Amino acid sequence: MPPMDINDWWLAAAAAAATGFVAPTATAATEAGGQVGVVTSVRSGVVSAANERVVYIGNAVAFGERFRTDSTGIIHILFMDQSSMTLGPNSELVIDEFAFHPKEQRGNIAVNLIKGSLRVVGGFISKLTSPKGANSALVRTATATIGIRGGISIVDTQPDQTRGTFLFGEHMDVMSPDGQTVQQVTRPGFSVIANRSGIGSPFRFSPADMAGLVSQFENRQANRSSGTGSLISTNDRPGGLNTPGTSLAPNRVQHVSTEIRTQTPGGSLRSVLVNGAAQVQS
Amino acid sequence: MIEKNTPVSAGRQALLALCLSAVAIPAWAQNAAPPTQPEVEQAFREVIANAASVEARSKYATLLVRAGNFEGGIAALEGLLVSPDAPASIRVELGVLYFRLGSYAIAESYLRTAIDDPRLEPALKSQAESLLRDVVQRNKTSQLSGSLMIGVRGQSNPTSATDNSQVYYLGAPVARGNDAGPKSDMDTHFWGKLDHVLDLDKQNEAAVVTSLVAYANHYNSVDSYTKQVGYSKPFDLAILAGSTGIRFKPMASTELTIRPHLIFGGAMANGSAYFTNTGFGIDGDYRASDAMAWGGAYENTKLSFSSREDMTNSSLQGGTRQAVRVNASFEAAPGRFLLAELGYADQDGNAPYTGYRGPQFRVSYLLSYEPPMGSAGLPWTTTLSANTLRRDYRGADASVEALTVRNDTEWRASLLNYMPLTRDLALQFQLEYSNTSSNIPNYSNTNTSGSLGVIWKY
Repeated sequence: MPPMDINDWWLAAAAAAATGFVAPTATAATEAGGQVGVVTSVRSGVVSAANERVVYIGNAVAFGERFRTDSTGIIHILFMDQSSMTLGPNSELVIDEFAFHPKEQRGNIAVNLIKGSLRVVGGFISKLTSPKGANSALVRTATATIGIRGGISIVDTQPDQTRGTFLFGEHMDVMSPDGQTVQQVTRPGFSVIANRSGIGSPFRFSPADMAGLVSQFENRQANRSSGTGSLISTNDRPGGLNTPGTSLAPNRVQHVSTEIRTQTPGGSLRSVLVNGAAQVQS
Repeated sequence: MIEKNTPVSAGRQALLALCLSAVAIPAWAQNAAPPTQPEVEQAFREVIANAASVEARSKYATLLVRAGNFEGGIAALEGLLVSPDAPASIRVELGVLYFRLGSYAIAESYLRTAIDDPRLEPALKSQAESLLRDVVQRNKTSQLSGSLMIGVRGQSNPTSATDNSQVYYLGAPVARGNDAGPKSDMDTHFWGKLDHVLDLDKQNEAAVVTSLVAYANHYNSVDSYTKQVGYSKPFDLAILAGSTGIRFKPMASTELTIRPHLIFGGAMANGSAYFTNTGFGIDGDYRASDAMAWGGAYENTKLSFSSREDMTNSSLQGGTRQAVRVNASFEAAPGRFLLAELGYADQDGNAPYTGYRGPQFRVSYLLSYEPPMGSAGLPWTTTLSANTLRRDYRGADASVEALTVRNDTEWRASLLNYMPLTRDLALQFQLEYSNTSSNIPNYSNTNTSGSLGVIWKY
């Protein structure tokens, strides 16, 4: 594991100072045990495996720390590079590597998903590009290594199989345990399954299956609160939900361009009629 | 700092507080300017410093979204779903954010869960359902969409008859006959579009994309069809045209898509065969950013006119036509789009005087705005367009003026207003003025038209 460098741990220092967490000194930060993130959400049934310590919101996440969840446990971790990971029920995860040097634009993050499910939202590290190539957040399992480049993926693993589902980003690489890239997924909503015999081709993951996949990271035992106020996701697009195709969709500009070209019979017919007889002007 | 009794109670307290402070979120979001990176980083440090602070987490999520970092906003919001106290609106937020990222399967998943949540406010549920309709369509392997319009149109000069009182015939100026001048007319028309996308489930987003256009009209002045020579009324038209091809991303890491395609079409005029049009083309789009897109196309088609008694030398009007265009589209602000298109067409013509070449330029501005009345919250859209083109013909037409090769310059301006009545039904109103000036007086003309139609989108 590469050592962490305190010179770039200003975020950790700020966090430690404010939370009362033992501030990582220059020496401590280079050792396993330095803070790499913070627990921002947790549902009962999560322990830090080293000492069976129950995990709470606000707990610092240490370098090399191992988390284990039971059938009800869920934990959401925010990392110093603004990555986040959500560990689902009946899962076990080890923070293998984490180093972030924002000024030098380098870093690496790797976790070992021993069992269960993990949602990863890549932060700065997964978006960096170094002379050696593009960085990825790595999730290692017994049957595959998943590289998540600047995006969001869900990885779930069983003893004999790992599935990576790509939700957004540049791409998700699914590699054999020896690190050889075998499949690259670039299209959101597609999955790849790796098992002992190899790595399959990407396939579309249906919305219904997706619902089952993401539900394991949620608490569906809803209480009464409903939330009020306007949506932050549409705040820059008033009324956007009424016309999503032209207000919110990432391809809205192309959509409008096509619409304008074909929204009237006259415009379209001129391109069909070209230079026909004068009598048929439209 | 909350008391750390149990993990569950800590989470519940935090999220309950979030619910209570939800009304505060829009206060930050109302600022017009996006936050600076230092502001986002400061908000992040506040979360790290006090992860249990609902205020800090809400502010962080809001700033990320306002900064356009939807992925970061998702990271912040998904953590809230661990608690049973997560507001029902959080899943709508996540559905919207995933939609804005183009990740439609998970957007559908979140929206369906949100809509099924009885806690969701009716107004928000209605909006979520609107977005869900769009998302479901995008998630289908076979996507069918289109529109039908029935309308009426009045034109001052539907036949493009010249305004000049003197025209050329066999090289000599002659007085234009009274029957050959502009005569206004009205028509009723039907217009249909059908678009089909068959997703091939490939990583390069390959899909068979097919478009069909159908049109038919009937002029008030046409009471029966005849093929008599010298027919001067406008023609009733029936047209079917379309294209089909495979659209795909040639390079996975870019937002460039191209579509080689086949072009086909045919028309009837006054109930008899008029022309066919077949060929091939390639078009493409490149999304430089969410707000900027480039497009382009090349088409090569063969136009074949039928021989008809009522159209002099109609078969000579056909030929091979090549056309190229580039266009740029820009979203200046939410609901405001500026589009520009530059093209060039070259038709060889079956006779020198029917072949031409020349450039074309078009600019459009589209504005969506709150409707002045009704419309169920659906915005009205006004499009202003200006278009000019030049046609330089290849040779002179001896039957008109053997020593002069025709060239035309056309200007066209239009205003189009789209007024939704419901999500599926709308009224469309259009005013258009065109002016063609030609070096041969026979072809100079103007036309003003106004149309009103009812559109059903499906």
